[in-house]
Amino acid sequence: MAAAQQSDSPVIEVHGLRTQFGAQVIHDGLDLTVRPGEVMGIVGGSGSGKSVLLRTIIGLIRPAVGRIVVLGQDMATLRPAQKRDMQQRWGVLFQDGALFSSLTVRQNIKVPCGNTRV
Amino acid sequence: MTQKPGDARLTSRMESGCLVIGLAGRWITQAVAGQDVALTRLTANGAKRARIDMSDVEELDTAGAWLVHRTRKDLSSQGLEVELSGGPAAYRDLVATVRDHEVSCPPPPPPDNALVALLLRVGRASHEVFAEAVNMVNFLGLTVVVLLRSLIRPGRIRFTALISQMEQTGLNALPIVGLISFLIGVVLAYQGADQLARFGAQIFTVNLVGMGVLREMGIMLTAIIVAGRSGSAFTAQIGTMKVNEEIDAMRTIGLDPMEVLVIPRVMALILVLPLLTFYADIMGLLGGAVMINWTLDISFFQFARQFNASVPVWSFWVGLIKAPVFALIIAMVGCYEGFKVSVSAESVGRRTTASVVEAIFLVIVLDAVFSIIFAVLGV
Repeated sequence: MAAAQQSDSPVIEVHGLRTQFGAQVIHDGLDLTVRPGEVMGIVGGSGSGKSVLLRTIIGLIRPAVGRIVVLGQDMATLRPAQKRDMQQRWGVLFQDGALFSSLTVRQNIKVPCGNTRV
Repeated sequence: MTQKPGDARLTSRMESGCLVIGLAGRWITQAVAGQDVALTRLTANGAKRARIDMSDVEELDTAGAWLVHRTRKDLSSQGLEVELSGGPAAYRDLVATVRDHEVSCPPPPPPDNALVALLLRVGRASHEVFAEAVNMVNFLGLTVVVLLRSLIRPGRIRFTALISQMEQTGLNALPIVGLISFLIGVVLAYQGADQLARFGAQIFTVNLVGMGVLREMGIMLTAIIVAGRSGSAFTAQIGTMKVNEEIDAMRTIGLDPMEVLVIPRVMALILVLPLLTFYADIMGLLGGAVMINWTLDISFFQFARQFNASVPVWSFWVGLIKAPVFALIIAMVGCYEGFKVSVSAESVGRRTTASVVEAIFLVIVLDAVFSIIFAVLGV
């Protein structure tokens, strides 16, 4: 997070996001900014699109419209190598505790460090 | 139906042009079912007004209140003026609350014409099969591309996973593959000896066993056993990871599931299936030799001589050449079905079954294709 600490520029920016599955629109015109040091919780009823938003930010779902900027870099325009660098800087833990079930706790922690193979 | 004191009871009588419906007893969920039909059968019978009398009702809950409401609605639609009477005010409040919250059920969709339904089913199924085939060819292409990329840059191959998969799919399969091949050798020899003895051509049982095991039985049985125990395992492993969102977690941190999960499994099977086939060939021939020795009194030495003279070495290669192709198909189908698991444990089971059925089906189809190719080539 070196870049984020140096300046006060936002860590995560979402602009005019629109997510839809077929004809069903999940988000429309969603804006969101997370600044350095900020802890953000997203609250909502079940099925209101909290997970979809997070999955869209980390690139598992492609937004229909909108821009997602993480650490100053627009996710849509990154080249594969840059994207891989970015992916090595963040992590995700899904609600069912989806660590890699075939690994031990120690190995799970070591996965992002790059010296353990799943 | 016997009437217990706790039941809901119903009376109806005419009182100077007014239909009086008397409710009594307990009009609660557990008791009202018995009066449901009787209430729907109430008719005006020439009355102009109706009164639902609840003075003898001991207990009323929403189920009872809903029946009262429905009866009132039914009678109103027959042109009667309906009023509620008797019982505490709370009863009428409850009926009013139920009325306010009534949700009308949408009517059931009309059943399709049998012919149309059949056509629809056939059409949907055909479309599904076609889409499935396209997807599978797609995945096969992706697998081959990633496989070639891994071969060009072997540093990206995960050797720990590869060795572990080779152990699970190869080494651990030795007992079952060996036993089944041995038994099939025995069966072939026994059936062959039985038939050929009628022509006094017992010695040709050796040819039958040799050709049968080397060309077809060894590889087919091995492929089917591997599809059953390893192809299904691939689907279950990957499917479970999919359900637990482990695949998504992998993608998020920049690990490609194709490289991490699929390639070690495909490579392991491609390396291991020829070895297993060779082992199955040996065990099948051994089984045949033992049976021939026992029933036809042909010694192992005679067996070996006849085998050497009559079975060309090509038939061994014909069997073995198919092994890597079958391995690719079995591993590919297993992984493909694993990725198709949706987020429920039930679909893991469904996909695992589909994986085994598809893999065995494709193996047999490919075997037929190989037979035709070899026939054209004349080997």
